[in-house]
Amino acid sequence: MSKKFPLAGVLAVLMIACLFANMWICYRYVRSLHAAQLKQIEVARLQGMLVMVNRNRAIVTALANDAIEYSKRNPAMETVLQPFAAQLQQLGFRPRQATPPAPATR
Amino acid sequence: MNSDLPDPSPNPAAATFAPASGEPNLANLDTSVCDLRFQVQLILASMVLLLLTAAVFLWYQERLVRIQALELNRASEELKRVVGDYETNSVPWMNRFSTDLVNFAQAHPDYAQILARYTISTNALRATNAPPTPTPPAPPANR
Repeated sequence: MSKKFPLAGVLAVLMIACLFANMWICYRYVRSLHAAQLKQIEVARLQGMLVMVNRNRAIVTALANDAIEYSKRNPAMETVLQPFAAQLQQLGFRPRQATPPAPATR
Repeated sequence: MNSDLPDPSPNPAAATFAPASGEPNLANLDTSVCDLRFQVQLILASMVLLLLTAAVFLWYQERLVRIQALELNRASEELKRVVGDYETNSVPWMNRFSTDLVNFAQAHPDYAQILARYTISTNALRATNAPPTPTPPAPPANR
């Protein structure tokens, strides 16, 4: 065939080469798809965890807000809040201004 | 047999290549072979073109999926960092904070009323979204 029809032989070889290339690309495509699916599952799981993180942060912020409000009525709460001043500041709470000492009266 | 009847042979090729003078019509055969050769080449060229198109399409799709996987990987790393940072830095002090508040509430009943609005339990601040452990059913009361 190739002796009499060289073009047909060349085309046949080309076709087989294309077939193998297709198989190789198909294999890579399936592998990439699988990896992407695994990553998507992982991201979904982490997003669920992030929702929990945000929810917990909101709860602690509300808790701290209530505690700070309560400390205005009961100064004993200040001793509980004092060790967490830096963390509460990160949550957006301002440190309480130290009250200036009352002027001495005679 | 009646020789006046027309040829009953249904094969048109046989009619085409019927020997006119006892020999096959070589010119017709050559034309047919040329036609067949052309058709084979045409089919092979079409197949090559089709396979090439499919290869390019698949390669493009594979590239898109690979890029998507890379983006997902980046997002996953970022989320892992945020959650890890929360687990390492925030959870310990939040647990201590809530424990201190619970202890304070035990001594101050008026604050206990405020704290009762929040349900604080051990490990409640962890970022795991695992389902809660099921509690065993209560055993049936023996009479």
